[in-house]
Amino acid sequence: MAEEGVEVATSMVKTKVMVAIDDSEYGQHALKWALKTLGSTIVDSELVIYTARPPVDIGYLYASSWGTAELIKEIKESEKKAALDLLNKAKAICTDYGITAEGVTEVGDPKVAICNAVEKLNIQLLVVGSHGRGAVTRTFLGSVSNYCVNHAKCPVLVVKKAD
Amino acid sequence: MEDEKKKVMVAIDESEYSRYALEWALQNLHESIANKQLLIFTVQPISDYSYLHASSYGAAPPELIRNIQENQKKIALNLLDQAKDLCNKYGITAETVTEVGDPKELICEVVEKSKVQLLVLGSHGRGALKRAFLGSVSNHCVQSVKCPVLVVKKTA
Repeated sequence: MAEEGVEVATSMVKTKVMVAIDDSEYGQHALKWALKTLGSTIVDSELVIYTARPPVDIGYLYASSWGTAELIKEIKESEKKAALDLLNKAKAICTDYGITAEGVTEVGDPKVAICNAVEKLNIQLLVVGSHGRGAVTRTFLGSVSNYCVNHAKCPVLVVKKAD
Repeated sequence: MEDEKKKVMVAIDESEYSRYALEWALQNLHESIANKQLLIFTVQPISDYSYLHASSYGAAPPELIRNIQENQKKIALNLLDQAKDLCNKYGITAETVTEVGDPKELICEVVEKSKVQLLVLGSHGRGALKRAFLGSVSNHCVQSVKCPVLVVKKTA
């Protein structure tokens, strides 16, 4: 089915689905679950994989080394590279399921960045994991997922990892 | 090949948010739902009979109470029928279930009991406060339920 270059004139706009991930296992699990369970829907939609990079905490760096500009730049670059690696790995997982995804990364506070991206990219469905890096076993729902369910303008699907 | 078909459950009440959630799911997740079992669930809240007892001097007629319960059940079954019709329009046969009790707890219980793989909810219910980001039942279910939850928001 090689119809990538062809503009199909349909009355329905393609659904845009965004999966927001981080490097935690919950993010990976959310992506795989979505591909497996909603595969038939996603195949007809545009899939965007999004990861947010929290701004680098350079406060202590300034204090420790009187602010080396190159070191700060290096740290930012390595964060960006880590994010792009994460996106590439995620895109590879999507190709395993026969789905091409677009990868997007931005700098900012994850919860706010995700909700802003939903608006900017006109997303119809946001998929998030239930927890992230700081997965405290006591919490029912991670802080970013919780924020997104409450504030995102589109429907939000929270994928939980069964124990 | 999987032994049992995957189950998707949509929990509704009479609010427009639920109806919107069901329609959104039928429209946007059509292909994914078509090869799974769809379950539509509504909860009849336990009626508050306290003022009824008070107004009838502590001797509320049992027929009246039974009447109220029957009425609630009728409303729920009616709601479920409307929902089933909506699903049929999209070519999907749904199973309907109703129970009496506290919505938040019952939804979570039924999800576990019926081994639901995806729960779909509206963002608000009857008591839709403009200030609240998320209704109390949706909020509780997103946090406590063991399966993935899809909260459908109605964009203003």
